[in-house]
Amino acid sequence: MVKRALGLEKKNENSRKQLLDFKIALEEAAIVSILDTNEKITFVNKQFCKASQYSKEELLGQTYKITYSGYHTPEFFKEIKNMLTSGETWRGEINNKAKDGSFYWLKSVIIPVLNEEKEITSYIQVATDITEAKNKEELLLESDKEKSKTIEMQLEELKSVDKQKDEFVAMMSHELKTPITPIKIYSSSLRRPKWLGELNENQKKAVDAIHFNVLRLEKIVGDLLDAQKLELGKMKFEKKEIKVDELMDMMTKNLISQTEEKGCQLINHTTEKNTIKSDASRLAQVLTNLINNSIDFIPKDVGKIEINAQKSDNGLLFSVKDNGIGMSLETQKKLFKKFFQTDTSIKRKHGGTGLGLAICKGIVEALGGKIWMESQEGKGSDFYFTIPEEETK
Amino acid sequence: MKILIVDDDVEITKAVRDVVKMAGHDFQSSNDPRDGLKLIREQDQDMVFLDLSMPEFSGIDIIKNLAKDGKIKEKKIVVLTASAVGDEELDGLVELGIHSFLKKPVDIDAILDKIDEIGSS
Repeated sequence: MVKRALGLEKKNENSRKQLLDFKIALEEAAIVSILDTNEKITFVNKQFCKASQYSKEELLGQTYKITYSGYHTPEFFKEIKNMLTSGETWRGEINNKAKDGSFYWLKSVIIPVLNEEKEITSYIQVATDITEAKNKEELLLESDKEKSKTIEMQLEELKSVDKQKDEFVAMMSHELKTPITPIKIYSSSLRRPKWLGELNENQKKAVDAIHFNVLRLEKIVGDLLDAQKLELGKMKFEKKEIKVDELMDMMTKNLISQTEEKGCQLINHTTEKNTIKSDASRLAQVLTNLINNSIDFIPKDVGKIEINAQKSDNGLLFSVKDNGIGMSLETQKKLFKKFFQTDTSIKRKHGGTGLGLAICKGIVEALGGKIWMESQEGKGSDFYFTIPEEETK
Repeated sequence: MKILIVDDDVEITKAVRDVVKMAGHDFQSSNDPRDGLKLIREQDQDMVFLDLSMPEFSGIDIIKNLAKDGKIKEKKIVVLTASAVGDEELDGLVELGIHSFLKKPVDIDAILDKIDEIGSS
């Protein structure tokens, strides 16, 4: 019995020592306070006084509201109270106000202490000061906000510049078109001997050059305008029934002389008689662009361009194949982008704005189709595009 | 035929006028839209080439005025337009009673064909 009592005493002694150790550890490391069930402060440690700048005397008997900062909503405290009164431990971060009015942040654990009857007798709060980390966090948040604000402003600015650019291009194209009209009319007039008199051979050549170049200029301005319209979704399409074989015949007729000038062949393989509902002049524009493109890149005298239009699973399939210089995979990837040309030397050699294929893509896609190409360097290029089933009759 | 050209651009007016002249027709021209409207109302032409985008008083205003007069169809208005004017707007003008339109930059053949078309109708 005595032995047992002695053992118990020793056990108690150990527990007490352990508790003391805890107390010292807590005193040093943590901010500790105890509230009674009326939320009045019954205990604070030195660290609590240091953080709050109040003395022990000032704090004892006060409610927790003495360090209330106004940062949190009433719901925040209600939630803490709800958890604690139902016997649960609350963990979280609380903003407090010190005696001098400055704010400090506590990372807290609040534990409800229960008696043997499982009634709550007090609340122990153990906390650490995280003000420094919190301030850094808020600074970061602030600078993030600042940054995203700047980015937003820059984006707005870019959008407005982009709009200005669109308006500028539209205005410029219009302005450029105006003087083209009289140049074109007078260069054509000069080519009519009955109107302005017979020209000698050199004069004829000069006038032909003027005429050829004004047509080129007209094409460039037209391309710019088309690209702009497609970009803004403002291109209007007039869908009518088209006899595809007749369209392909017309394309051949229109472009055969240009091909033959280069000593090359343009062969139309279209045999199927299909009717589709689409925009004939825009389809002709796509085909003209593709064929002209091929004419540029086929070798003189041995070049060959083959065109066809036939039914496929994805609607009507148009193809323009040539035995020209072809292109690398790298080039193929960028081919349908605006202003793209394989390199400046080709641009010099072949002219053009680099808008042709981008326009083709825009038109085909606006008509509901797809455009793509297959090519091998040195072996020629095959261009394909489809006009979808619902447009096919 | 007697043909009127109304365009605020002097160079275009001159060029179209010269084509009309060389094709052997009588012509009138005006670079001022209000003056142009007056000419169309007060004189008899066989056809009119009309520019759309003119400052302050546009070709569209001229057309609307003529449509109000109720005599627009007999005036045979051929609108000269740059692409700045939308296609839908052009459709609206046809409904108002213009004869047709030519897109700038027009060439001689287009002008001559249009004159022939109206002359023979």
